[in-house]
Amino acid sequence: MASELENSIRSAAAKVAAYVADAAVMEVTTSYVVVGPTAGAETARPAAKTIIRLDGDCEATVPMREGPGGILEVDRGLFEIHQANVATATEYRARVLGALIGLLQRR
Amino acid sequence: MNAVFTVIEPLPAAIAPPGPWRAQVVGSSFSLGDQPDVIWQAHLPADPAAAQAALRAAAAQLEAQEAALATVTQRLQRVASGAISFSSALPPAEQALLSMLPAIQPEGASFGLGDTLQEWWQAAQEQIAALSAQAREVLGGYATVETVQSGRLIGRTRINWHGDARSLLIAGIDPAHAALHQQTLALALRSRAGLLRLIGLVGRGAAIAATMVAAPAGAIMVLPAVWQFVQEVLAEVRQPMV
Repeated sequence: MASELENSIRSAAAKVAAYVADAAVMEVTTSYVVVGPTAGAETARPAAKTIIRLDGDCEATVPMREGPGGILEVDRGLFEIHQANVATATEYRARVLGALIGLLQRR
Repeated sequence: MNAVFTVIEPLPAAIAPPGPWRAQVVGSSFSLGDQPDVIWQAHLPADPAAAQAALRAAAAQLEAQEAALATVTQRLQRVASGAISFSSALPPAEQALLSMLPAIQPEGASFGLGDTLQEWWQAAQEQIAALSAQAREVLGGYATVETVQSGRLIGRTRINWHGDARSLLIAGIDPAHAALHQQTLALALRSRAGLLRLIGLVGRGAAIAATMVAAPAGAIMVLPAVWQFVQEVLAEVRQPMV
């Protein structure tokens, strides 16, 4: 049991090291697909995607829909949902990293 | 219908993470790299206001537990410093810790633990082992978060600790339903990160409590006692979900 804990801490330390090493190429990706009420019954359709790189690059695929007169416009509702998801994913990543750092603090 | 928050764990044993979640162990066997997702499922009532209220209550419960956990280190330090001594006026967490520590002193009952204490010790060790496995799972696998309202799946997100996420939403989802899934997702991820925090807290707590034990392997010996202390602190703020 004690070795379980030690292994966890060692594993966490290794993960932190790997995390830092990969920092330059880290990506946060959120993809949305829209399906019908019976999941899988309809073909999943990509709606929005965001890729963030730590060197400052950010790539976003924005959901569009046909508006009045056939003009394409941003699907704001869907985009807002997507943005909220990006924020949640980013916060989660920060929380886990914070917890990992906490794992390495003995006192 | 009351809201039900369930974590479906593929591990053979699991403890309930911080927050409103109940752990449901399915215990399938799997090899490394072929690990099934942990599924975090919120079953919400049909009434939108009731669903929102349930999620708010769940978030408040998690916040209260996080606040309680934030006091653990300081409370342990007070005990370790000798600033407090055993008294019936102490909170149950401090009482339990102070009554257990003598049992693991070299001159104490550790070499002749009573059956009840030994059983408890074994159970605590198994829980810590389960927590360790869950923490490794947080770092190594994906979580699937599902929001079910009135028996209908309205959103599903699969996410790993890097933040890579993929969400499935019902076609034409309205902002209110999207918000329900968003809140469920945020709640689940906060609790999931809380598992890592919990294991760090127990490790640090053991280092503090070890200063009260003369046994050579103090930090290891006191782990179950510190785990119990953390459970007692959580019990101070835990309340059944309505």
